[in-house]
Amino acid sequence: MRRSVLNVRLSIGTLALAAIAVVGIGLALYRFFSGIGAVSNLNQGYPWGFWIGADVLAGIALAAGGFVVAGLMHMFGGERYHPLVRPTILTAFLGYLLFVVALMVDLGRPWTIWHMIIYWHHESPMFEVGWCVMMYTTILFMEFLPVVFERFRLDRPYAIWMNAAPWVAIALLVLFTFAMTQSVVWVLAIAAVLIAFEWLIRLGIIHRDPRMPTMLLMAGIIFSTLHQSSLGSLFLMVPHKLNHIWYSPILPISFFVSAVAAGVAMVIVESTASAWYFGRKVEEELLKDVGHVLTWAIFFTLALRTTDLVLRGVGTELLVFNTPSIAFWIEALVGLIIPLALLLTPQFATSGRWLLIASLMVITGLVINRMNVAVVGITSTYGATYYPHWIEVAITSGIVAAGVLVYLVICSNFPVFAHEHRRPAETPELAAGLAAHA
Amino acid sequence: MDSRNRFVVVFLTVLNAFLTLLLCGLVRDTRNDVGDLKQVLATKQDLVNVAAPRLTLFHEEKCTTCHSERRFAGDHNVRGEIERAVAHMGQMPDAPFTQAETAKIHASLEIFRCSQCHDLDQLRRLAIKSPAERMRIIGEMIARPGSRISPDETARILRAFEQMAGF
Repeated sequence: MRRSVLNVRLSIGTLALAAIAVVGIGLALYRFFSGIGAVSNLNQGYPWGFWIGADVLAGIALAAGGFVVAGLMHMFGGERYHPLVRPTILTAFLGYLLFVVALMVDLGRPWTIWHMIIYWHHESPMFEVGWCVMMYTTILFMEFLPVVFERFRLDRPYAIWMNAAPWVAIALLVLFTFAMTQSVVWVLAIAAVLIAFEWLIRLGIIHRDPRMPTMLLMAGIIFSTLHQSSLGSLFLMVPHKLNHIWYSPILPISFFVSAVAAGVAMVIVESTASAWYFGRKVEEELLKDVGHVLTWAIFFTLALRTTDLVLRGVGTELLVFNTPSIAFWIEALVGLIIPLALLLTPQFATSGRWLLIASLMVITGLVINRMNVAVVGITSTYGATYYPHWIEVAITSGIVAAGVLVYLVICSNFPVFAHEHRRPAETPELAAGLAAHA
Repeated sequence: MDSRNRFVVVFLTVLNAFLTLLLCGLVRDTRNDVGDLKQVLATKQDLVNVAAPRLTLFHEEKCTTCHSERRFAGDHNVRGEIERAVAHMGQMPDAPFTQAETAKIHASLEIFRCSQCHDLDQLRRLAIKSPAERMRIIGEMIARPGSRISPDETARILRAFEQMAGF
């Protein structure tokens, strides 16, 4: 008989993940007692290092699957992607929570993180990123709540949630508008548009999704789109430090587009891996469709990067043999060119295994890209050097391992996958609540 | 065509397209660079101006306010006498020289000896010669009758040019 804890199978893999998580979390606690200098090689020349590249830039981009699938399914009418929504939302939600945990480890004075809520610095992209992450994490939490309601059969709260969620989303969007603009005119304009939109939905003039309030999805897409690009904006302030291969005026657009590709790739990897782990059938037909989206996303990312490089005249820097050019070619070959070639080869594009390999390559390429922007491409004006300390890597590995374990626990105990969903109008109480919402 | 061959073809096509676009960019940049070139080719004087933008005699700032240049150009202008004179002036309360300024005055006076026969622009042209050529030219000048410069001072003159004109 197989042993399990919280319904999670105790295999060698899960035990190894637990060990990595325990070590990582232990070292993270050690960081709070001993200070950041004791666990990292960060210095005056490199105040941002492995943690910013891996946890913040790459982590946030990999959580982009949430808004990509929400956009595909609800905004562009791809109803067939519905089975992917809940696992993707869960991945994104956990991804953002882990990002917040990792950021607390990386910040020199984490106890002041709440300052951004009170002190508004409109000159800083970090202010916008911070607010977006705060808002989007709240939205993801709300998007995940139906899973909890279904698990515990909380039909009345579910009905209340269906009614209240759009107003919460509107409130968050209006608050965000005020924080970013401090303009009453803008606040009133945005509020008027959003309330009118929600009213049209309730009147049945605009299509209403019975499973998820459209306003909630729209808010999620808006917040995630804004800060995916703003993470690129952060690096616009270091043109003298960031290598020309990566420094570009379109860095925000480039970050957003590559995050979309990585988000789609994450959907494929996460769906395939969870199907294997839970012994379910891989939804190959659905994933092939997602593969087509991935092909276009990679193609668009590659086209954008190439055009940018050509127009900025950086070609010669790519053809010399040095660390930045080698790092760029690894990034481009692993993350864009080889996966695109795989997906353009029909025999590979229709194979679940090769689709997974291509997706893993896209994800690896994105991580390399973000590490290149945050670490490899940065030249310190102080002449300092930086290599990640092993504890930096161990803490990040621990946080990721903990995230995977939490994902397994939630998937094992909550109705995350499509075949476990209850229909929204399964009980009279919920049906009545939904009718009121309609 | 089997899948592996097809993948190789597609991969090379994508890579080739990427490299071709980069190459197009390089060609465009080269065309722009060529278009920015001057119609008239650079002259030797242009090269001199780049290599040694200016050559000034430092002692003219420091010494000729009080002393006539003729004093530096007379028959007594031999090595030991200059050094003694500069050291003496350095001790004067109204003419204090720093160590760096003293070195520059020495270098300036070395070049001043050359400037008795050559103007400063002519001296700057040494900048585009190789070290060996400079040594040969200075050697030829020293060998001329009336130079009043000892052959073992060649290296000192070269160092003076390096200090005052940067070559």
